[in-house]
Amino acid sequence: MRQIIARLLATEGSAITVALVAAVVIFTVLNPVFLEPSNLTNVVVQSMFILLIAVGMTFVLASGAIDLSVGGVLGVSGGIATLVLLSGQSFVVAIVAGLATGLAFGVLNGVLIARLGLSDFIVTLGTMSVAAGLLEIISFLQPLRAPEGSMLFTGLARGWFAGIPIPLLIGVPIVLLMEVVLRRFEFGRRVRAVGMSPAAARLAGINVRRIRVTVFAVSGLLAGAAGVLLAARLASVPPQLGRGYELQAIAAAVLGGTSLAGGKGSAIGSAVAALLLGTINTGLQVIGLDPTWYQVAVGASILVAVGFHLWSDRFVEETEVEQNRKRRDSDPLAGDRRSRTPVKPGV
Amino acid sequence: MSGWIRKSGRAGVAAMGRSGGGILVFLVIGAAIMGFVAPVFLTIGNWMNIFNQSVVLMLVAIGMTFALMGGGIDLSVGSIAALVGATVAWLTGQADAPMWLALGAGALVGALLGALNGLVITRMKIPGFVTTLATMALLRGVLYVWTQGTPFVGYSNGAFWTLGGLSRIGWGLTVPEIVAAVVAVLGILTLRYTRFGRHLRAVGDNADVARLSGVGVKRIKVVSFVISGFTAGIVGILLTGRLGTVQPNMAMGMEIDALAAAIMGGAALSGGRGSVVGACLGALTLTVIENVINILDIPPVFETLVVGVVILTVISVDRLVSVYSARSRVAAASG
Repeated sequence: MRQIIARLLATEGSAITVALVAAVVIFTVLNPVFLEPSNLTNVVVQSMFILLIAVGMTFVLASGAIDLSVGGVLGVSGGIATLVLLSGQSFVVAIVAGLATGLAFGVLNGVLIARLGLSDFIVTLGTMSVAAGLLEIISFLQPLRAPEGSMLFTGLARGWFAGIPIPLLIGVPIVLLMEVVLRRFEFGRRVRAVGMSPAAARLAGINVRRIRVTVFAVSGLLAGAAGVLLAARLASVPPQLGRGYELQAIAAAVLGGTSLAGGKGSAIGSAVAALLLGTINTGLQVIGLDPTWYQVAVGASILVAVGFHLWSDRFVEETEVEQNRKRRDSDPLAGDRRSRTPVKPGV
Repeated sequence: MSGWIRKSGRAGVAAMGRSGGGILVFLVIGAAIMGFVAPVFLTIGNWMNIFNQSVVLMLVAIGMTFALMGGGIDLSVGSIAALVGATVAWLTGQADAPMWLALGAGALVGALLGALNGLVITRMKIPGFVTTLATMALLRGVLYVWTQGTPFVGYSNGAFWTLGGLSRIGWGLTVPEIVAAVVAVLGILTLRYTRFGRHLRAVGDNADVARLSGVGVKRIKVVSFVISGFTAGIVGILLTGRLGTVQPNMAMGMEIDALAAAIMGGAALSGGRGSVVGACLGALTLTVIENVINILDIPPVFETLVVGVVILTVISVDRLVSVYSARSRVAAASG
């Protein structure tokens, strides 16, 4: 029995999925309304924005860096997209403009960090302020409310296709693509190598600088996509859009198994963790929790989720140690089984 | 004859390459420029004001430096400050406790909350980022519930004003300035001359190697978080004096400023590095930026953008200076 559980938990990202399922169950028990399709769709769509930037953040963290600017970039990208739409351009041009904004900020981050060798924390802190500041200025000069007839634009985030909300149709392929890139493509392996040891990576012939710039570019692009999507959903862009999203994205990535020290990461884990955070957010509202207790609940949930994740890692490892011992006892020539690298404490 | 001038010049530049050196250069040049643009910037009155403002951030930044050097990070400093401030305000306001008791209790609460962080991180092996993110939310939540959303008022008096630095005592200094000076000196001495300081750096650099070398890694980490929590608590106490009320969202976002100051001063998220002096300079720089924005009367809508641009400029200058000084050191050594 223990073996079966351990095998299940050993799959990357499974612990966080269990946590998600547990959260859904708990909230449904507390208020059955939670399980209604309309509510679940709501949860998923609302989580989509943090999910996208969390996936981008996964790459950055896996490379051993951090990107604090995603929230600000999300906001300004949404703002630019709306601005372009307001100036009469088609929604395609608006979307491209938003994505380009995100990409531009990402490249800026990458160049400052990789070429000038500046601290990633401070640089992305600076670009976050620049991006957020730009949004404030833009929305000050021109209220960012999407024009009435822009159904195609808002339909992007509010529409459905074959019974599935469009944001989901956009988000799921992106997550899967990113996971495959991180895990199987050369690029993903190089990113993780840089995260584990930049010096070793350089000696192995990896262009650390280019990897770093690319990683930040990806993060910026995804933040831009999230911003465009959010602007489409809201049909207007408040001047503070995106503020504070970076911490949630990092939390989602870390909860999903990405290490802050770099070298390992899971896009699917981050996506599921983002869904978990969204579930907790919406669930607390659905069960009618007194808003004053909100922060306490969020903080406690995060601790529980991480605690569970770590317990599950240790459970898997101990079970395997036990298993390997038994195998060695019965057959001295048998090799050891290891489903994951040992958990490194204290980051 | 000119040899010694050139050598001392190079030594000076080399010294600037140390943590925070570039920031000093930026401050000096920036101050000179500002002096032309708005002479009021260079007045003694303005700079006394700047120092008084900056010491609060300096205190948190010093505590954060300790946490960072141990390889951790403390995102909960804002919430700890707010909760400690509320404790002190409540004790004096509602419970009619004597000032010394309230202050002592506040400091204790700060240290205990820091210990809580440290213990969760070392015993439950939850990464520092997630732990302090969770405690940041949790403690802030506790404050919300406690205050029921309405600020604590009515506890303030002359003593609190002095505590908060709104009036000056002996030698023209304010209480926060004196406290910050004491803490800074203690911090510098601890890092440089005690075994704890050496062990802290070792743990932050490579915890496994430190452990194998016989360093009590868990204890060191907990202590580093106790220090961070303690300084955050002190800041909370000073802020209750300065602000006169305890708002539920008091000191929100302080952790980002503290991190920025500490990292500008030479600390790194990866641990093992840091400088108290650097952190103080970083805090001073951030305060000067605010002051410049005020004096130049920059419309509030531009503030965020300006702050971002200045931060990027400061670190770029810092990098250029340290690169230049490194080259000078090489030249001096070979010439």
